[in-house]
Amino acid sequence: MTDKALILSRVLEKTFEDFAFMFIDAVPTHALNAPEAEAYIQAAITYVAGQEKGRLSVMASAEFCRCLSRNILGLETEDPLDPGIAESGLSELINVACGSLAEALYGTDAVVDLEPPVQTVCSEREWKQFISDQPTLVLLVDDYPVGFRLDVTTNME
Amino acid sequence: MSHNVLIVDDSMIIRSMVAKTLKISGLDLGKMYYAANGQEGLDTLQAHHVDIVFADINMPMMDGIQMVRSMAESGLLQRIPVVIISTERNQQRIDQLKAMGVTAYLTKPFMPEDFKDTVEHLLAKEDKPL
Repeated sequence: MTDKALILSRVLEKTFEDFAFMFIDAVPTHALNAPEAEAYIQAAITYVAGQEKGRLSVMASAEFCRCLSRNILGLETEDPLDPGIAESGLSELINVACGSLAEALYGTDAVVDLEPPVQTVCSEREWKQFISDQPTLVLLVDDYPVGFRLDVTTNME
Repeated sequence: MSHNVLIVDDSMIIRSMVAKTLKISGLDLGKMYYAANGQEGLDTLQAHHVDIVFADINMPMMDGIQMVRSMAESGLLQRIPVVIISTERNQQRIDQLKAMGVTAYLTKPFMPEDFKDTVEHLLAKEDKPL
């Protein structure tokens, strides 16, 4: 694991705990062969820090998004959840994680410009591709597999 | 005295979270207004009486810094306390916002206790005789 991947992993662990009271585990193989979800959601945020440009993205099932949003709001399973709010949880998670990641990577003296997160609906094929890509970090969050990926480029490249 | 509140954030879940935390914070709430970006926030301030603003920075169309700057230029910032709730951690930007007149700054994810303390501090300031 690279330094950046290790920092990302620690940031995600703390973000899930502080923001959604959810906990991370290592991914057992059977979780990655889980039955097809009805839909997958991807949220991504880009940032610029000096010479570096980064893109942090997350992909998970729609069911996980509903679970995440309920946790963020402290709702019970039987409480009604607006579909718009259910979907916005994943974008806000990546927004909060990116703020913490920027601080961990560059400190509080550096100016880091964040773009608002962008969210898209993905297919089963895109999900499988995402989690099998080498840079993707797959975590088990409250029994749901969730993929994260950080891509960083520099102006020199 | 009840307080009309404006919550400015492009994230529906954060608007909902702030509203929910406000309801349990002890603030005597009047009307609750919502806006998804700085421009919508300014439009709401033009159309309605608002006592406190809670705003994000990183938003599409018009960000929170531009909204606060516009409020400062129009004199609204002297009358309406603004609490920024953001993922921004750059100390220079936070200091810049405070110098512009922002009342308080909370970093996401915020703890409900910190939020409650901030609101109580705001109310205590309001209660002080001039």
